[in-house]
Amino acid sequence: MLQRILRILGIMAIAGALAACAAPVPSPETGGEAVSVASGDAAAPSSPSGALIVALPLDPNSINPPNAADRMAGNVINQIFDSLIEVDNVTNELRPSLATEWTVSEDGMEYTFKLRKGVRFHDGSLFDAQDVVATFEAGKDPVNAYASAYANVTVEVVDDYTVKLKPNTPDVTFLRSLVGYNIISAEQFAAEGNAGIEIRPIGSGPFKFVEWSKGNRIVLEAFEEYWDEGKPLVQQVIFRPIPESSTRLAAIQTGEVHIINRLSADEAKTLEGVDGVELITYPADRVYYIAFNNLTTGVGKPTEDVRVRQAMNYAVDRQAIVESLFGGNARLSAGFVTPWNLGFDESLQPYPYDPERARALLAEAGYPDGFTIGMACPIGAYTSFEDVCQAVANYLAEVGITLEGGEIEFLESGVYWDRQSKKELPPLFGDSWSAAVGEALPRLVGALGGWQESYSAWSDPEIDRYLAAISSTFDVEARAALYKELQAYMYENPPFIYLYEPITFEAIRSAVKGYAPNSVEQYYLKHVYLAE
Amino acid sequence: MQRYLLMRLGQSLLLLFGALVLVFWMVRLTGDPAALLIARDFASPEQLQEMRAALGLNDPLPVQFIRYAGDVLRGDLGYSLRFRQPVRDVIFAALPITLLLSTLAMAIALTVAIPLGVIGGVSPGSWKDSLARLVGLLGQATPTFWLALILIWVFAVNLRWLPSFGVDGLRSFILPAFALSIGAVGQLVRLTRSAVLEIRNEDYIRTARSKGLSPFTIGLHHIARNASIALVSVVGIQFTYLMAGSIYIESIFAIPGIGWMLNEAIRNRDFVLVQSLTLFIATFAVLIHLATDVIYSVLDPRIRHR
Repeated sequence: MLQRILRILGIMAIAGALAACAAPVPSPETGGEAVSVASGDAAAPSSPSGALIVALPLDPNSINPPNAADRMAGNVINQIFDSLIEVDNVTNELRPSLATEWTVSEDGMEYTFKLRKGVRFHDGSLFDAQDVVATFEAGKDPVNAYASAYANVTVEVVDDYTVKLKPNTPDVTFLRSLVGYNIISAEQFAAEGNAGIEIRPIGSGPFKFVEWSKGNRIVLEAFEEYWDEGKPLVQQVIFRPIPESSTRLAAIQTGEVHIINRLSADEAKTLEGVDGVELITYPADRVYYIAFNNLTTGVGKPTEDVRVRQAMNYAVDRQAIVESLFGGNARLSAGFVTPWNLGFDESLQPYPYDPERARALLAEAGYPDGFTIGMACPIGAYTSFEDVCQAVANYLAEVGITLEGGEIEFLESGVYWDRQSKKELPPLFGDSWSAAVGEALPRLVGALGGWQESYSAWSDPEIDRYLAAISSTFDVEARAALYKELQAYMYENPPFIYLYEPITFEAIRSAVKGYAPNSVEQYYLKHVYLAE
Repeated sequence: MQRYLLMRLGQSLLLLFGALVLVFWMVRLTGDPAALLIARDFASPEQLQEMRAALGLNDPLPVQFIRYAGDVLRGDLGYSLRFRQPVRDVIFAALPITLLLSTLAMAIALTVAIPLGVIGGVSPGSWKDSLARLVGLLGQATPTFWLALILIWVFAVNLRWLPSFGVDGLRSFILPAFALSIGAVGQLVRLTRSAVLEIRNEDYIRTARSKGLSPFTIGLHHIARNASIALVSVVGIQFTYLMAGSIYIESIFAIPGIGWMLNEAIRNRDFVLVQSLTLFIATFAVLIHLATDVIYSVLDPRIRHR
């Protein structure tokens, strides 16, 4: 409620500002790999110093790696634990971490890693192949939320410092997904089990766990024996959960915290020109869309006709929606693959707003006067998404497509996803999907995989064929080419009304240097220091 | 007296049972917790089914209810999915924080409201009375969350006197307690004022005056005691309102008490914690009302003898 009021106030403020002058916000089109990195003018310190305070929009559910429910928990874990490989947030490339080098077998079913020697865990034990074994052993315990992902990997010890990882089912994104598997201490797991890791996580990462007072703070301290020489650069990292965004805005202004994230465009605007505060923006790897259904509720509806689906894509003015609701801070989508994904086709332009063409296509399909169809959207799940849905419905009405019952069926997000998983939502429903492995495959399969996928309401043999081909093509170039073909197909045969990919806003104190989150809000604080 | 208390106790138990039923069914109206407990990319239909079975969500609702009611009667509030701890431990970790916050807010409210109300009540129509009435009106009309944001803006962002969020010692409770107290201040001022005003004109006050008692004795033994009856009942009820208000206030100030916890539970679809917390808060409210009745009957012999 409060957020809604503030949002409305914010939109009013933005509207006023837009009338006065063009908003000085970064153009989404310059996105690409761009992540604006905090300028690094002051020299990094020679030894760790200072306490970096990071606000979290929510308290992590757990900081045991296989239980981290969201990015915020994952980011705390990233500082305590290392993985075999990590992502360079500036170049987006994979680079060595606990593994120094790796080879992938021809068929993509065997990944051999040489492990780094002389790495110590926070409990003093040495890192070797047994810790990799323990990681997957601990992870696949059914008490863990992500047990199934861990259970999908078989670990084979070659020698103390060489392991082979084998996914049980072929997975082209496997290598990159390993960034998310944090290596635990075999000694701790043997002695304390998963319950022990929940309470006092021990990793080999740049910071060691000190205390967690739930809902109030998580304190980490620099690990002196960290393997990456010269890191970390701050003595302490303190995470402070602050659920209310207006309070986060206050805390960055008072300097009580150094980093705040998940700001809306309106909130970010209020920080412009504030002394000692800098804004960071980057495009999020998340696509918003209105989905069609051809499995259950949409069977026999006009939306089974591809011309109708094209017409509906022409009927919606994405540009106007993004301008009025997000101050222009979103990229218009032309498909389900984003510029940050492998094989993105930059030649595809978003469907232009062309109601005439939409009407013509509808007439051609046999619906000159439009038709009536049901539509649902979630409440409270995404920024301004209720308003986006309303806008889409209004645009559809302009070309004669009206809603069953005269209005959108708005459902509280829990109920919404429940009904989505049971495929009970109406033939049009809004949602969004992110991707964390640098490729669009998980979201493509999740949303378009037909009956096998809980949240999919769409099945198209041609898309299935592409997805199967992509899933079994281990050559990166060849896979990129397949993604391009699929995008072209999905452009002509849209399974969605494509909408937009939002821009993410964060704010930092000017003293913070070297902070670089990537398009899925992931960051490594070992590179960060405080210049003061 | 005894019969009266027994009757109130019976009513309270009935009320709690009603709350139990209501909470149980309402929690289940908000969708399938299993769907939210598994990340979407990993949720195959089989896994969702497995999860539902593990949580006992596949049994018919009456069966689930009887199991739940049985657990509650044995004092077992269940296991929090969000905190991975027994609900009892989770609640007892957060309770002291909320009690401290509510007690501070109540202390602020009483300190401000009673003197103002009495001053207003004894001199109706004066400027002091106008002030009391203004505070009463503003207090009741000001939204708590709005005041909270204003307080943060003034005292944390601009003046830098107090922290804007979190729990770092007692200092952290000052702004939240003030924000939380505002509604209680409003109601208590109005109540005290009207109680004093009414009693002032009673016959027994005139009698007391005419038999030569000092204004102080009249104030303490006649006005204060009688006014306190009205006050006691409202203070109890206000305390339960303060607990409810802490849901907003704790979230705004990032204070991990019961209110914050309820938000967390709802956000994470921790239906076990939601139903147990709600039941706990309901029990707390019922107990306070019961205590209020007892104190009330001690203060007011008319109720005792009825």
